Amino acid sequence: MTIDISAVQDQEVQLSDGPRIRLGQLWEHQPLVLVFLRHFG
Amino acid sequence: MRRQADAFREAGARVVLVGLGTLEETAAFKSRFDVPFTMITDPHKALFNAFQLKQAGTKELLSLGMAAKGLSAMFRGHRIGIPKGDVRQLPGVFIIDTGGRIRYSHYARDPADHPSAEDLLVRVRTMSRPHTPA
Repeated sequence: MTIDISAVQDQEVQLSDGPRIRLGQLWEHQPLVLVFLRHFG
Repeated sequence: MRRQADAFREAGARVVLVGLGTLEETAAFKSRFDVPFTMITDPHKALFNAFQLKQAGTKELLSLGMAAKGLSAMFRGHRIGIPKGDVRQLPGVFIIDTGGRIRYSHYARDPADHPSAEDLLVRVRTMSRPHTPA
C-alpha cells in the first residue's frame, strides 16, 4: 500500500487535550510512532 | 506500550495513539487507563482512511484465534468493555522519520494483531543509529 505522506501531513487533527494541529507537526523534530487502535469504554 | 513509554522517550521517538472515539470518549479512555501518550481523536476515520487501514471481515472478527486472544487478555487482567467507534476497523502502526518517510508499517490482520512494543523500540533505535559503511 502506498500512502501519499505529502497529502497526509497537512491534515488537521484533534488532540485529546483540545488543540488542533497539522499532522506533520508530530514528526518535525523527532520520529513518530503512530498507533491506530480501537479502544474500549 | 504504556510500560515502555520512558524507553520510547529515551530512544528519541514520540508515540501518538489514534482512536475512534469522540473527544470526550478519548479523554475518558486516556484518564481511565493512565495513557502516557498523546492521543488523536478520529471518530470519522479520516486518518484511518488516509493511512488505508481496512475493516475486518466476519471471519476475522469471529475466528477461534480472536476468541483465544480475548480470553488470554482477560486472564492477564485486561477488562473487556464496549468498543468505541467502528468495531470492524482494523488497527495499525506506522513509524515516520523526521523527513516524513514511513520507515515501518503494520496493517493488522485481525483486531488483536499488534506488533510488540519491544519490536517497535528496536526499529526506532535502529533508525536512530548512524549508518556505518562496510
